[in-house]
Amino acid sequence: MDVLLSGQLLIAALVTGSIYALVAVGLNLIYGTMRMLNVAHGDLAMIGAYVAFWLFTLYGISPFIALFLAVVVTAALAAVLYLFIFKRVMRSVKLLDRAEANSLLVFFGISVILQNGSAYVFTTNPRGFQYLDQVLQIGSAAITANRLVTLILSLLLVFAVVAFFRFTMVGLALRALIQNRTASQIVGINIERIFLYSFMLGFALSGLAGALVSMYEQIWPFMGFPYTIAAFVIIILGGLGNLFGSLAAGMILGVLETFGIAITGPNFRSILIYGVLILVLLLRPQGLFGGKRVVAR
Amino acid sequence: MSDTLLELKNVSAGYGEVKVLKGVSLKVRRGSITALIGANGAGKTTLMRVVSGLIPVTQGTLALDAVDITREASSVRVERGISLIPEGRLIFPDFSVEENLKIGGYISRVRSRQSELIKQMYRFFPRLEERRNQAGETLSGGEQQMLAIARGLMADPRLLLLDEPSLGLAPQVVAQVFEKIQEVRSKGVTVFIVEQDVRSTLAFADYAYVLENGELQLEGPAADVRENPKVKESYLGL
Ligand SMILES: Nc1ncnc2c1ncn2[C@@H]1O[C@H](COP(=O)(O)OP(=O)(O)OP(=O)(O)O)[C@@H](O)[C@H]1O
Ligand SMILES: [Mg+2]
Repeated sequence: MDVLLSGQLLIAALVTGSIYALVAVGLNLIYGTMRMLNVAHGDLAMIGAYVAFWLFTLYGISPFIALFLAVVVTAALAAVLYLFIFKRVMRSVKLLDRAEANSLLVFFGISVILQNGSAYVFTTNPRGFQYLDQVLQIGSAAITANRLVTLILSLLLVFAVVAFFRFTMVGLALRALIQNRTASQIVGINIERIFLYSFMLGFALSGLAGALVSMYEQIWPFMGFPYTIAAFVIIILGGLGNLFGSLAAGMILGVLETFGIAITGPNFRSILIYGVLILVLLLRPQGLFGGKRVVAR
Repeated sequence: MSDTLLELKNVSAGYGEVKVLKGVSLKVRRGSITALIGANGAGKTTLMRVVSGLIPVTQGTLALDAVDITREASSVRVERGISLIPEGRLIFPDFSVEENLKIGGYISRVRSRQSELIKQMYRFFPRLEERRNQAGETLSGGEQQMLAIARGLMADPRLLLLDEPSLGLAPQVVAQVFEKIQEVRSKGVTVFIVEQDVRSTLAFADYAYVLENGELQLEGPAADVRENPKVKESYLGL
């Protein structure tokens, strides 16, 4: 029981939670603005992790610098995918009704390609590297320096994301588009540009999270899938289209998972996460905080 | 500078297989209040959507101030000064009144004047200022309509498109809304309005078009249209 109260777990929960929040808010952003479920979302974290790994291993570049490259790589991938595939899917009026189903298949294909492409290029060997891994003592809690920095950075990023949605015109436009597509066009929002931004921002946040976890997690081609699942649970928990809800729900799932595993055992992780998903779907399908309008086009 | 602000030439449009507008040609004179009347399902809303760029034409051309805008996206048309106050209001339900106004001033032409325009809207509709932090969806119908109008005006339009602004409003409120529209016009904004209440609309507009089954049946100065026997019979119930 001691370990539950030591603060050790709370810090671990916050680390997991803030990473989850970053990954999930991007998934929800793309869903909210475009009504597309990115089942490849966690794979972008995998790409970000490999970027950090190779830059460190080959050139000794700090993961905190690699972060930026992870953002550039994933955002560029988002731009290419949007401009060459999804823009066409969204534009075709005939396809619009099927856009959701078709996009799911396209994302699924992208996920398969990213995973197997990485397996082919990087092999399926789990990788890792040592960076800032000395253990720090904070009161009774022990934490590796890289986790502490990850915690601080990801919390800062969560606040930055909140501020972006709250206080910038692009953030306002993103939130407008989530509520009503036609009304957004009426006020003069260039919706295709906002689609592109949500794609890039969503992908980049996932890539960034991947670069952060690369310092203490095993890196391999299939590491993204658990993040995809967690992010899905979080956006259901926080409400579809509710960006601030995702951030809060990410922290909540981090806490539930970390303390749940401490009580039960590591093998229970999936059971816990799917358990949360099923409970939410049964008890509060609209999410903890109520979903935003996810029907209006 | 020509007299015509908006010109549609032989415009056809619809929804997929459904053809709604069939070769509509019309002009909206600069500085006028021009009305579009017609029965339910005639295609009035469709025409407003075509002008604001929400749906594409299948045939014909649109010009604003003699500039061809047929292929331009809605966002470009708003920058050019076309602003729609849509049927059913379509305000942003989760945004506060103030955020709704802010997003109304999203386009770059007005963005630097945003806070000044918001103040102007609050002077225009004091009720909105009282409710500035209230979520859009919690406003009454009349307040939502005021917000929709104010949001449309935030874009500082040259051409204001109004699609049934009086829908669901009490008669006194309708009178207020019409007063506001007159006031807007007196500031030099051209108004193109769709209304169900044909009698009061024709009393208040300068010029009118009658649309039936996607085709124009009649046009003329509002006073003449009001005296037209067919209009009297079909729309005024005389
Ligand atoms: N999204 C749509 N898809 C298919 N058909 C549509 C769509 N919107 C409208 N229509 C059809 O187009 C026709 C014209 O509709 P429109 O909304 O333009 O009429 P209106 O003149 O504005 O009518 P009202 O006075 O009832 O508002 C109608 O027959 C309607 O059923
Ligand atoms: Mg209509």
